[in-house]
Amino acid sequence: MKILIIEDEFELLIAISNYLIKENYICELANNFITADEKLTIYEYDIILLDITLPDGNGLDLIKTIKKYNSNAGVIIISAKNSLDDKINGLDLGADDYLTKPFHLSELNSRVKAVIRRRRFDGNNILKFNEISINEDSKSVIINEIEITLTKKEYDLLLYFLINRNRVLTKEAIAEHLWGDNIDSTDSFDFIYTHLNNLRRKIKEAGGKDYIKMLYGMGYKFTDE
Amino acid sequence: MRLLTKINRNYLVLLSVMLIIISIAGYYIIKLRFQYEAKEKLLQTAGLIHEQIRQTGATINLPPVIEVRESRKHKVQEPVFKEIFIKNKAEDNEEEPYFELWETVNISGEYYDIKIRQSILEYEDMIRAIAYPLLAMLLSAFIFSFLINYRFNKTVWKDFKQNLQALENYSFTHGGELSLKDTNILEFDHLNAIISGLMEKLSREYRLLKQFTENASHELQTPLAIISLNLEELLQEQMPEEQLSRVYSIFQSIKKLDKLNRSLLLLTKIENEQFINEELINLTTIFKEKLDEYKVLTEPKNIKIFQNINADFKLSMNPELAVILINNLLLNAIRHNIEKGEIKFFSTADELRICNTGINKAPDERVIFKRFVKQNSSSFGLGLAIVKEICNLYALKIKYSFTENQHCFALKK
Repeated sequence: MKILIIEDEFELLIAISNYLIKENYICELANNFITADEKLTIYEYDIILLDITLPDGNGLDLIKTIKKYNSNAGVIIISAKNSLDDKINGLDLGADDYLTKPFHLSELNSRVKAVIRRRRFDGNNILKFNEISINEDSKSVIINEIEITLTKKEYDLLLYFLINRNRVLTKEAIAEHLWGDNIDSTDSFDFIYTHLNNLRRKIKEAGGKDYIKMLYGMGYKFTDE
Repeated sequence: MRLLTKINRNYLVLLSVMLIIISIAGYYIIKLRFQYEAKEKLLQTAGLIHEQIRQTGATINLPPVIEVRESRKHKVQEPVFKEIFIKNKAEDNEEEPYFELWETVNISGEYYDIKIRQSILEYEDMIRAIAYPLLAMLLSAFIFSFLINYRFNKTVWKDFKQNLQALENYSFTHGGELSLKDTNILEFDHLNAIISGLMEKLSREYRLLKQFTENASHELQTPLAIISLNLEELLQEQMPEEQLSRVYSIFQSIKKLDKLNRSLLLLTKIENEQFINEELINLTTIFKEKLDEYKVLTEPKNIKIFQNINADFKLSMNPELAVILINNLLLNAIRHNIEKGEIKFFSTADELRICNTGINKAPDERVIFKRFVKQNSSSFGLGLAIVKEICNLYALKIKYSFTENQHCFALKK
């Protein structure tokens, strides 16, 4: 999977690319409009992360170039402007998703994975991890060939864990992923624990192992290490 | 009191006083003049009577107009004038006013008392005949000039009023040019010039301030993103627990800072009226959806929910702001609630009310919607400030009340 990251803030560019490289993506970087435009006309990418505010142009204009030369690529807009208009404009122009700065890298990963899944038309949408397999199209979860029934939140939680396995997921990141911006640390994150326990119980009942490691006071990690 | 009314009132008072003075003065002037004429006439008649007596020695008596008698006092009396009343025998003994000349004269060695009277009934008629038309003329002149003045004042103030209206309608948040009309009146144009200059300066300052807040918040977003991304990566590293918890603590603070920054940005955007798109929104439905979503928060606290929905509360507004409005009100009701508390939700076509149990103490109502007024240390106190701004934007009335241990927020159209 080849990703082009278009972002004018150098440090952000590096942080994102370091993370994505670790996740086994091939990354190319562009920190201005002209470089991005050039790369887009010459090379092909699977995913493009696009910052709207570039020093030499509006990132939204790059979507036209993408549609012309990289029509198969998925586009995720990254913007400091948390405005619905930008969001709507971006999505209208053909972007697949929209992420507001600052975001969690685990969130970025989930969004990238979701875009890849949507872009892939061969129907191979089964995510496997040891005895657990998730069919992202039918949103069903099978453990040891037994299908288990999960609520929407439990399913989202499991998928989020599986996509971001071996990674420390803070309570903040989980809460934001499942409930959006509005619930924050003002409210205690106890509700995550409730959902998590239900999920654990259901996996265990189906004979699955408990891969969810609790990091006290901080978050969770899904790992078989 | 309006200036025009005040001027007119003063004018009217002045006119009335003048009218009264002129009337009184007029009356006395006419009266004096008439008396003077009457005296002349009486003296003339007296002269004729003297002549008559001197030539014929006979006296004429024509009461009550002329009475001549031989005097018992042998002393000359110069003519004296006075007003007297005499009963008119012909007309039911009615008293009629007369002007009387009384004198004692010595004619050919004989002393005579002479009284000559002239009815002044006619002169009062005459005063009336002169005074009434005069008064009517004066009055109509006054009314006429008053009306003209009123009319004239109106046209003079018209431009001023238009300018006042323009000022009233001007909003810094909407921006735009403030155009004041030239009135061709030195004082007004001077005022216009001063106001225009002031407004220009104010609106420039206002724009700068707005820009600053917005730019500052925007510029903060990128560094915040860099810090939080790197901290999250740091959390992935193997390190002693103590260090890890320190990194996490920094991470949490950054998240708070981010939240604060987003709230400030949102406030600026609402103030700057950057949420243009509007549609008819059913706030009751949003409330029900949010209530369902926040079961994760209400259930652990065992908060009971009561819904009393009479009709849906609908309003034309920005959909994003509608969600934020309801979200903040509901979160407020949840966050400041108590274990096993209650949330009551009432909805009618023109009122939305949300009540919750909480601490049994009413917060200061004057500051409840102010920024950075917090009820507990973990929030910023911006949630209700945002609610208030949204309400202001759509001219919704929001009212807080604390009755029977219930904290209530009511939204009214």
